[in-house]
Amino acid sequence: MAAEDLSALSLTGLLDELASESPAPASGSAAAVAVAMAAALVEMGARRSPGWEDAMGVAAQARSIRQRTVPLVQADADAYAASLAALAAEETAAEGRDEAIANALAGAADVALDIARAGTDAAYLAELVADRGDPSGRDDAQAAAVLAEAATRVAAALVAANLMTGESDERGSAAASCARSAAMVRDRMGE
Amino acid sequence: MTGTAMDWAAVSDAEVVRACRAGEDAAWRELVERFSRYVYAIARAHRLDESDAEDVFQETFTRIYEHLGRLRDDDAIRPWIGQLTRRLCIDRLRAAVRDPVPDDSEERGELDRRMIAVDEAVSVQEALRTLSADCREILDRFFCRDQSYNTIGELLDLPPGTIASRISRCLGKLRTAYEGRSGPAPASGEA
Repeated sequence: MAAEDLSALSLTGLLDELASESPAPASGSAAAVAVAMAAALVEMGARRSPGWEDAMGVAAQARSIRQRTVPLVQADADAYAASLAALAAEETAAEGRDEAIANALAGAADVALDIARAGTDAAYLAELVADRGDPSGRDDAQAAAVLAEAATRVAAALVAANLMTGESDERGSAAASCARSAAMVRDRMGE
Repeated sequence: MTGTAMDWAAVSDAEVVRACRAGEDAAWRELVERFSRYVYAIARAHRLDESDAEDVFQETFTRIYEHLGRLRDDDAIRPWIGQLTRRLCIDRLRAAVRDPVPDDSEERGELDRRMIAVDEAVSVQEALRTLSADCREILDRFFCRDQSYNTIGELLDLPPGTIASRISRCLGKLRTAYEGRSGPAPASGEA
C-alpha cells in the first residue's frame, strides 16, 4: 500500500508538508486545496438555499468538483517530484535527458490543467450561488470565486511553466482559457 | 523504452502504458507506483475502510493488468483508472450487502449504512434510464467522465456558463424519477 496520501493528513499536517524543506508538495497542491475549499463553500451556499430549485443540483456538482480535486493534491506533488527527478538526472545522455525532462514536465502540466479546469468550474458555480442562491450566502460565494480564480491562475501558470511553450500547446491554451474564464466570472461578481 | 537504465520518473503516462503493453515488467512497476496514491485516494474518498481500500487497490491494478489492451487513448490512462476505481468501490459496497450481518453492533451499523448507499445507487441507476439521452449524456460527462463545463460546452456547442444550470435541471428530473421509484430522495446534494 502506498504511503499516506497528502489529502488524508490533518490541515496542520498538510501545512507542515507545504512548509517543509522538501520541494514537493508546492503551489500546485496548494492550488488544488484552494479549489476544493472553493467548491466546499459553494456547496454550503447551495445547501443553505432551500428556496432555490437548482440548489441540490448545484450542491451535487460542487461536491463532485471537490471529490475530483482532492486526489490532485497528491497527484500534483508526485508529478512535481517526478519533474525534479528528471531535471536532476545527470547520468542520462543529453538527448535522452531532454526528452525525459519534457515528458516529466508534460505530466506535471496535465495535473495542473486538471486543477485549472476544476477551479474554473468552481468559479462558475460560485457565480450561480451568488446570483440565485439565498442572499445570506453571497459573501461566501464571492469568497469561493476569489479562491477559485486565484487557484486557477496559479494552475494555469504552472501549466505554462511546465510546457515551456505557452499557448502554442493545446494544453497551454486550455489552461490560459481557464484562467481568463475564472477571472471574468470573478469580475462579474465584483470583489 | 527497453533500455536497462530507464528513468521511469521522466517518462510520460502514455509511454508507460505502451511499455506495459510491450510486456516490460519495469513499466508495470512504474505504473503501479505512479497511480497507487491516486487509486488509494479515490478508495478512501468513497469512505471505504482500510481493508476494503486495500482490496480495491489490489483489484484495480489486477483489472488494469487484464484490460489495459482495451484502453483506446493511452493519454487517458488517468481518467480510465479513476473510472475503474470508482466502479470497484461501488462493487465493494455492494459486496458488503451480500455478506452475513455481523454480530458487532458497530459493524452492523456500518453495514446498514453501506446497504442504504447501495440501494440508493441501484435506484439512481434505474432512474437514470428514464431520462432523455441529452440528460444522460450531460450527467455522464460531468459526473462520470469528470469533464469540465468548458469541455462539455465545446462538445455540445453550449455556453459553459449554462452547463451547470442544465445539469441541475437534469438532476431535478433524475430526482423526480428517483422519488417515483424509491420514496424519499437521498440527502441534499446527492446525485
